[in-house]
Amino acid sequence: MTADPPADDHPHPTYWTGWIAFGAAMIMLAGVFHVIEGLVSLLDDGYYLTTAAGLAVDVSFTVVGWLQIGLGVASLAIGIGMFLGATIALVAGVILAAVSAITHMATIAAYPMWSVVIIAFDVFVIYAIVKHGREMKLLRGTHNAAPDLSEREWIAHARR
Amino acid sequence: MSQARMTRSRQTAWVGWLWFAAIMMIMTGSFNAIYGLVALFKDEYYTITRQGLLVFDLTAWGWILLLFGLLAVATGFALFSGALWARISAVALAALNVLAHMAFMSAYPVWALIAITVDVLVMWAVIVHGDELAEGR
Repeated sequence: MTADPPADDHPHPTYWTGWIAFGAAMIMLAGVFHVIEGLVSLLDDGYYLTTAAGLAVDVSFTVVGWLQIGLGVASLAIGIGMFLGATIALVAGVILAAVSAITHMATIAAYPMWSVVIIAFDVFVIYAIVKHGREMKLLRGTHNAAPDLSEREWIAHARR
Repeated sequence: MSQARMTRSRQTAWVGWLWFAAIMMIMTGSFNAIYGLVALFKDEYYTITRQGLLVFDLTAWGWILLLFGLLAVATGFALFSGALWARISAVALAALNVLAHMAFMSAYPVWALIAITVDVLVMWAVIVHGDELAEGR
């Protein structure tokens, strides 16, 4: 096929938002994870492998718990914002995922496996947004342009 | 190049990820069923420490994991069709399963970690590449 690729204003929403939808799903899942962790920190901190004194920083589990619940609620809100296509949500998502990874490094002694899982989720979120977030811009205001290419044709061009 | 030829020539390459998701879903479902059956019939296999399990006891978690497992296997087979409802249920079930395994993690951390990893792979393949199989039709 030797024809020119289609103009840039014909990206298909479904394809281009795939990674952002994935990032949004991961940040929301991490958000629910945070809320559960926060509740355990507040209500059942005997569940953890160490007392608060064993954490890398000197904070009580009460403080950690509220921080986790706050991060969790913010993550859920940002995830919804990402699904709705808000640019600010992308920026906030990266910052929040980084904060989440750092706090979980500090509290890793409490439940190492949980921290490892959350940090991995945070990395997915950052990758999805940083690597693929700009594709949202391509989409903005152009998806009503009624492309005459089918989605599959567009994907084929985009991939070439 | 005609539309029909383009469609046919690309289908093979593009459906790959959704088939991967379907097979991963069937696999993680089978894992889950095994975790559940072990929790129900051979619970001394688990190394629960003094921390115990979150929310439910081992028997209740056993039934939950078994149920999730069977649902996941069924959804995995439905995923081969590429139907929208199957894709949505697959993502929802995988996300719920991640949370269930988070709560179940103290029973057998490495098993839970494997289940969570496979669930995230399912979510990734379905969300990022999920529309490809339906288009191939």
